[in-house]
Amino acid sequence: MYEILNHTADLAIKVQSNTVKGLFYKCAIALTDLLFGSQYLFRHTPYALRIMPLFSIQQKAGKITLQITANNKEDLLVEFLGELLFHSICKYRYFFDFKWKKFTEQEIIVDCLFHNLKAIDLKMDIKAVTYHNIKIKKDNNNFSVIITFDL
Amino acid sequence: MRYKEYEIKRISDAIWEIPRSKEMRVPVRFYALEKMIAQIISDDALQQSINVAYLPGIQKYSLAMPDIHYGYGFPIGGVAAMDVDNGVISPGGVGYDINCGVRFCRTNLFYDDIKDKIKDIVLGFYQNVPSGVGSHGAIKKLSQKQEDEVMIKGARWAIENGYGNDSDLDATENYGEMKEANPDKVSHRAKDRGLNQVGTLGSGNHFLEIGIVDKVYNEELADYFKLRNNSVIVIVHSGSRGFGYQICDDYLKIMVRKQNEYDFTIPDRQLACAPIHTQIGKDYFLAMCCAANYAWANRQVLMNLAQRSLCKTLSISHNSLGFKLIYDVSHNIAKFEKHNVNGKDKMLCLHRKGATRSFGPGREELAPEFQKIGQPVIVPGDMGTHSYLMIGTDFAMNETFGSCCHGAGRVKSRKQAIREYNFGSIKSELDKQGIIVFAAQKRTLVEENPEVYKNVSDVVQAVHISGIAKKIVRTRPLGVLKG
Repeated sequence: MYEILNHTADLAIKVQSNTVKGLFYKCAIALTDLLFGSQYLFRHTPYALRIMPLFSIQQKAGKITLQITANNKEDLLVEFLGELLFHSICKYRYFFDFKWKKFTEQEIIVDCLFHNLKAIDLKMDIKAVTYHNIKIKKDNNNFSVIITFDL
Repeated sequence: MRYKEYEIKRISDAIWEIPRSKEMRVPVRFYALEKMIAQIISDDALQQSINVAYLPGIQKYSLAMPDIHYGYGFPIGGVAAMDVDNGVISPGGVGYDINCGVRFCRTNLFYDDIKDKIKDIVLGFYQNVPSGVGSHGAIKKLSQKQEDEVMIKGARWAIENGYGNDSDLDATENYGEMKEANPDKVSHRAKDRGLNQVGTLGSGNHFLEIGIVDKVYNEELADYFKLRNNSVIVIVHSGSRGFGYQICDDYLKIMVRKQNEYDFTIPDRQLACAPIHTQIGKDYFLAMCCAANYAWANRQVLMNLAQRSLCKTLSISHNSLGFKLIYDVSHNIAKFEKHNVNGKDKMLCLHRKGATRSFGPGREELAPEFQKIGQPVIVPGDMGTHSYLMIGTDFAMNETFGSCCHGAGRVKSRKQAIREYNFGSIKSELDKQGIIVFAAQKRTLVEENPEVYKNVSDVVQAVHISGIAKKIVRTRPLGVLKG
């Protein structure tokens, strides 16, 4: 799903996918995994992840709709992940699936599905998603990006 | 000596320079022992210092302290002074944890008084001082009105609410309060994040430590601070928590969007900045001051919680404990300060990211008790080695705009730490050294183990011999609460 790279002070990950939309999806799931771990994720196909039937937290899944615009796809990705980070860290929302309503290089509208967890479920404190040297690269029909998180 | 295509010139024993070239507006100047250079070069943080040298309005040098390491945008350990008329202000030059800083406190106790109670003391800290990911305040969730007061009053808010004494303010950088703070410039989202985090240590490299003085370098100044060999001391390291992160994030986003409107380019979007005189530049500074004040209130509360916890664990009175703040320094901040540039006093916007103010004697910003001696500088090491109390110098005023290092500086990533070390061996090594560590998470202990940091004594020696701060005492940890 993603690879953790060496970064002296903070945390950098590399994510790859065969579409830009898939890249955004995988980056979002990677963020959830870093923050809460994957113990609540049961099985996954390239585009869908399911919540374990024995999910220990019994609340119904919630949904928020995000509409984000930016100058380019890299900034769009940083702002999308930044929004998810805020809801994850401050409201303990465990995002597990995303339904795209609009996806362009400068705007996304997306339904983000989540379960409510608790502060104690957080495994890591990520302060922010940075713009540091971010570039979505295309190589032989494969898209990749390196994202640096401030810890 | 070379770094990539750049020449490195030796200026003195521990001062080095990369001359101006390409689009650099000023040279890079960095401070290190010769044996540290190979590691600094391998980390690529100097490229980040070179990138900072591209920024408009930068004065004299893009500076890097001996604890420099690779960050994002600015390096950690970077200092840049910008001309207020044609320079820029950059949230990335301050960092997300606005006014992350350290405070150093003395007590009347000596090692023999606590040597059999260290585990109890650290357990007391663990029980009384909220730490770790998602931790909430030891104080009741604030109302919005109270949070606005924290943003305006800083450490003074904590004292007015029973956490400490007025004398603590004299021993806090800026008296624990930036007067320019304006809560109207802070987003609702940031305010939400800050409501329940005053009085929390946080996670990562933040810590609360009890230790002892184990070496005195300057008897006169050690006496001045009533520190002797085996004196028990307490160090607190924390910042503005989610409140500060959100302010940085909010303003970076705006500046990234506006970057195309300015007549200069930046080599990394994380260096996004705005001219100081623009509305967005001014707004960021006013919001940043709110986060700085929040951090000072936070450390003031944390220190007081630690003090109360010590009294309770040791069953002694506050008078017997004799707890006193020696100084509180900020190491992620932007400030307007007057400095001499080419023989003239000039108002500059100082960015210190992972760097500590190191003012020499006579600066009007210092409280009367520090006017003659200069400002105390705190350089914490990691949980297995030493920390240092130093003093700012006149030389630093001319050389580094009154700045020096902020800690040991990482050399290994968290990924490397997890791959190379395990909890059991680190714990047993610390046990062997007689250091009790409580961490909210085992992972933190592995990621923050002593081997992932530079040798703090080398960092401090580079500072000492270059003259940008001078050693007073060295301390060693006995017990540490990690976030």
